[in-house]
Amino acid sequence: MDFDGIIACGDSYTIGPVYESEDSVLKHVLTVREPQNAWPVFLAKELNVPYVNLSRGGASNTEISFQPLQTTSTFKKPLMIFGFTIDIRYPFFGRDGKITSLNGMRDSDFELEDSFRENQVTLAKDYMQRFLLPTKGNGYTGMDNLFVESVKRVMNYEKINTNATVIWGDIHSQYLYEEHRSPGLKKHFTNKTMSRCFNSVTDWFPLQQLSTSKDHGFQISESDCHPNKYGCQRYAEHIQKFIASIS
Amino acid sequence: MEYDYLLACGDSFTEGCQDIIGNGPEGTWPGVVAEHFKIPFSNLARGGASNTEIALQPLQSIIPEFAKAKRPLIIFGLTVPYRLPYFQPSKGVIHSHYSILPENMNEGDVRYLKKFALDMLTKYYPDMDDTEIRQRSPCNEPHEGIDGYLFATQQSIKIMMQYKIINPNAEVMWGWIHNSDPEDVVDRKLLLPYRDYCFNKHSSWLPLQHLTNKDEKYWLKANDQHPNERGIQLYADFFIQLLENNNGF
Repeated sequence: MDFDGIIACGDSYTIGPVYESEDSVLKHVLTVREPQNAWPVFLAKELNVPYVNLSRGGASNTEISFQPLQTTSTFKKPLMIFGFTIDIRYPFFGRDGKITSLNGMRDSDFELEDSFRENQVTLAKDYMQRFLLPTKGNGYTGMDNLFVESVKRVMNYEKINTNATVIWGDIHSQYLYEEHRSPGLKKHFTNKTMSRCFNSVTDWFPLQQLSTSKDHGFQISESDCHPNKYGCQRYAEHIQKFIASIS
Repeated sequence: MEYDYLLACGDSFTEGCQDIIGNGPEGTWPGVVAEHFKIPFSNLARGGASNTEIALQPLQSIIPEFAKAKRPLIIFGLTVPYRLPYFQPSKGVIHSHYSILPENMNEGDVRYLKKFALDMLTKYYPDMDDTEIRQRSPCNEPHEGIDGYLFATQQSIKIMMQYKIINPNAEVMWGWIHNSDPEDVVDRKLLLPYRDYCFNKHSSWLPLQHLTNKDEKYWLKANDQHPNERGIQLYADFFIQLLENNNGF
């Protein structure tokens, strides 16, 4: 595999560790971000290439599939890595015309979005929540269909730039100890598309399983499942192993 | 002309009403332009597409021939601003409502979608009801500032330009073909900083529809201003002349 830079796309599991603590004196939440400890950084160091990290915390799979459209990098032969996430995030176009995503489909998620963006998205929540139900067309939920189209879309970057290489897989998941995607859903993908899924090196489990252990040593804290520096290193090691396997 | 492939994106004015005219993709303006220069082409346009959908058409379609091109040209034909892009649950793809009028919002629960669509306008039209939507269509009433739909068009243009970064060998051109008022110059606020890539600078900043707007002989039908074969030829002639002169720039 020949590439001169990495374009990493994903959600908070790709953006790098974020630590939050309450300052009892100042009475506000302190946030410490560690983008230097994100898995794309470790991977880029190992592969000795530059990188850009386009991920955004809370991004849906659809939003992730469009993240390369924000890049300003000028890699001629980019390795584009898409770390997918939980399905229940609804993508929509905000009043600013940009694609964004709801963090979830509960009432509280809609209320949070409303106060955050003053966007009145609660007005459309019944419509959005219908994406959680099976559709008449193929029996899959709207969210399943959005995921399938997201994967097909990311593979299209290779058609737009023949020098690009695309790999993808699930990182963040609500199903840690089982195959994240059903065999029926995978039938929607060509052999080539499946051959680019890095979950093959983790027996089709999402990478989040690598940072989940009894002692919580690879995650931010006992209550925060996001990977810490060591968890991110494990993600990078496994993605590197996958890259080696297809090179 | 240095390009070896033409990829065209747009709405019905680029799709060419193929089901009515019956000449297939070859009979659309991208087909006529490609035939003139003897290069392969794909026409990804879809009738009713919003500007957001148009900007994302290259990622929603399979275009195997494009991958072989060494110097492809992508032309985006923009449309009216007030079409709402949304995601179709049954297919998972981006689609667009033809307009924000209730009868044009035919997917899912119209009540909620309509309110969602109107949210894009609330800054200027906070209490608009159905009757007022018809009387005060946002496209017919210029207003100060830009609303959510124009923001969306601005973002779409930004996305269109990104294909030059994703494929450094590709050239991108965009501009309005279809617009609410074909005789009105395009909104200059939306052009910066990409105006050099806007083909409307060669049409006096008017949407190409102005070429066919005044004369019914270029219309599909008496009450349908989509271009017929003669109208399509006018659009194609515009692009042929443009591309023959300094590759369109």
